Amino acid sequence: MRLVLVAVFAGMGFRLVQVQEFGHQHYAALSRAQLTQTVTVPPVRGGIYDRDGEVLAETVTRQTVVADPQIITNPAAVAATLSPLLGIPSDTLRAKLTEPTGFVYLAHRVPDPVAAAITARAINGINLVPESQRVVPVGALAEPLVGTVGWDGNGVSGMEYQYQSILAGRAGTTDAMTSPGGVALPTANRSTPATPGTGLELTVDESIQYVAEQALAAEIVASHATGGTAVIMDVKTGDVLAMANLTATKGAAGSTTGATPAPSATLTAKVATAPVTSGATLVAQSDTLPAGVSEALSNSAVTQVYEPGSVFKLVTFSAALADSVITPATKLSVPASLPMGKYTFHDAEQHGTVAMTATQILAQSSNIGTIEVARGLGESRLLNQIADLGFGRPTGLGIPGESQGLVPGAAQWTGTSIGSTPIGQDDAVTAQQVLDAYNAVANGGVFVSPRLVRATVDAKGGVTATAPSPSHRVIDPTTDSELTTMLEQVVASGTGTSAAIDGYTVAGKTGTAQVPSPDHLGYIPGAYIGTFAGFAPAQHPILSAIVVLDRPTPIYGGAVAAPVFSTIMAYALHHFGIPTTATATTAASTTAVGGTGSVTVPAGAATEGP
Amino acid sequence: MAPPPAAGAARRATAAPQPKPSTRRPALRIFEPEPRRSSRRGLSRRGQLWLAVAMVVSSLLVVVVGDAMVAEGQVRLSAVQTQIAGRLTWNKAMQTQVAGLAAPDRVVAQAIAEGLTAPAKVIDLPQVPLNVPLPVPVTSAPVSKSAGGVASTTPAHSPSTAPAPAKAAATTSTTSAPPTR
Repeated sequence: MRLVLVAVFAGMGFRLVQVQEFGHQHYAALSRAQLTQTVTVPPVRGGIYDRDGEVLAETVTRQTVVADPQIITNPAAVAATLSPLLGIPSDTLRAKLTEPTGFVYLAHRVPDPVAAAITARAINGINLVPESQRVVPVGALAEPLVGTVGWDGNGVSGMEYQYQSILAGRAGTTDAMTSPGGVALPTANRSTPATPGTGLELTVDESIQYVAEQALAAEIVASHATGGTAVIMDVKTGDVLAMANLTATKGAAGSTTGATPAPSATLTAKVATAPVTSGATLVAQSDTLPAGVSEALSNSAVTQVYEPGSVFKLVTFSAALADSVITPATKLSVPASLPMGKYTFHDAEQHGTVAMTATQILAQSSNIGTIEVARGLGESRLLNQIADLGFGRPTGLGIPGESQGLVPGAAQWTGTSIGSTPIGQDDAVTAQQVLDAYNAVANGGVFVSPRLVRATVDAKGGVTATAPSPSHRVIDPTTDSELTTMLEQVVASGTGTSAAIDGYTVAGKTGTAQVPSPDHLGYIPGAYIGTFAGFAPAQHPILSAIVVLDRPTPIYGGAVAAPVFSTIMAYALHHFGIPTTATATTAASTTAVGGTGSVTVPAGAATEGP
Repeated sequence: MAPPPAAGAARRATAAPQPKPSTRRPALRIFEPEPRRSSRRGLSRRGQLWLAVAMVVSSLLVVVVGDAMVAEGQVRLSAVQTQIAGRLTWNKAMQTQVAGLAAPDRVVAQAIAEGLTAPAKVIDLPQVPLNVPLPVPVTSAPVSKSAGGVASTTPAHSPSTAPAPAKAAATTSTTSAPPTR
């Protein structure tokens, strides 16, 4: 008997040592697995700001109202209390509060005053859970560019989508110990903190963006256009200061960001901006755009291609000047029409055979004269210049859905290509590509890639500048100077006089192009796209811009796009305090070149808001 | 085994009676224990036990108190962190609210509501070098009333219409003139 007891206790002791000493890690792990809940901590999404740090999109924490129906004893009374606060019918709330579950959502991301009101009522079984909300305080301004986020907080369009990996941050985890009954245990939790997303400081200027959209919208309404695009750039750095993309709607008033009513009319009236919810994004209501115009669904400036028309003549003349095929004073005989294969080319205005200088040909936008210049230039040289000026390849902005355009190579050329390509037919380009080419001329012949993000902003507010845009020379300085002088004449006495700005010299080119038919060869009758692209001040350029109007009436770019260019450019020049005198501009721009990558604002010049 | 007879005889010979020594053996005495040299060595076993228990209990008490202080610190830290998070949230909400109030459309709407109107055209003043003296105002000579004139000291050119110095005028020809397009 004694031996048996000894054996039993020895066995127990052995087992005890085995479990406690050698197997404790295994059992501890099993215990932790049963008691520990790993909770994902979502990161805070980075904000998007304009070049001055103004908020374009920001993530804030909002409260979501949840309920535990098993605790609520009087669902009808609770529903009656919450109904006016949440703006939800009492019957709907009562149905939710009587569901046989322990958790039910009542309202997502309610405004702060609503959350405060619910907290003050201290209703048993009603709780508030923090949830992230993307807020766009400037309304629909630049919406196609900035983009939107979906319900899951991920970007679905624009910069929000393009820079998702940077903006989103990295989720964290926390291991919470709870008893089998679900009660949280007061132990030290192991947690990996979430890494907040990195914000983006865009090159866009909020005020110029607003003015660009206003001017473009007004012209869309006035000319009954179906849409339009306006882009303005800093000549030296390639920074895009505004990128407006608008479309005409039928009977729409204001923006199309959503018409969902605010949760509570009473409470949201106290909020500074009565917001509406568009997807997961809270958008301040915007009445900025006139009736019948709204933000486009996509960034047309880089996604939509079109035949540029006469603005493309820049390519022909820059190559011809560079190769000494012409000089600005070279006189050419321009006939009334020019048959080529089965097509006959005409000028916009009928005339007999006239002698025109190269400058006049460009200023009056003579198709036949330009074709004559291109014939002297040759096919391969023209194609090379098209490629040098950035056509047929991505701009480098990397915007989702960006088109690199369609530029037929030598293999695709037909017998009439030497007639159509020099005047902006055959090729399909984006508005941004055209602007890049004009910006190269404005920049003394140096092509600089456009840029939309000037810096990243970390969670602590630290700003890290992005790399400056790459640049390379595409036009020699002498040719560039001659070309600029010729482009000045377009505005001074040619087809682009409406682009003139008091106090500044402007260089640019108009374009009026037909819209190709998607169904068959040829063009849609009566459908035109009007364009004006240029820069100012002409001899010491600081800003370049393009305005494109789709199917306007009148059809001419000089009549519809040039005035919009003038309005936007005039505002931008004054906004940055660009002096009107040429000498002052020279001094200022010289000292600012190679600076911090910002617009070359003269020292001491005052800037003004809208 | 018995010893050999020769050895036994020798032992008897040496063990023969000896005369008693003359000195007497000292009498036996009782020695008292020496007085205690140190109290520590004299701590009773019970005292040692109490001391050990007290030390263990006090150690446990220190651990408990320390743990409580750490727990209290954690609670305070948690409260401060919650406060910070709340303030950051509030700060961000304020930032977005300010951004909403400063949005161009709201600024323009407010300006219009207060009666401000956008200028139809902005004319920039010519930039005149300050180191070049302005032209001296020309004062017309007094004319007698009989001649139908009125004595005037008005400059022939008001400051706003005075021609700019030659150096500035050469570069500002487009600024003061009305639009020509």
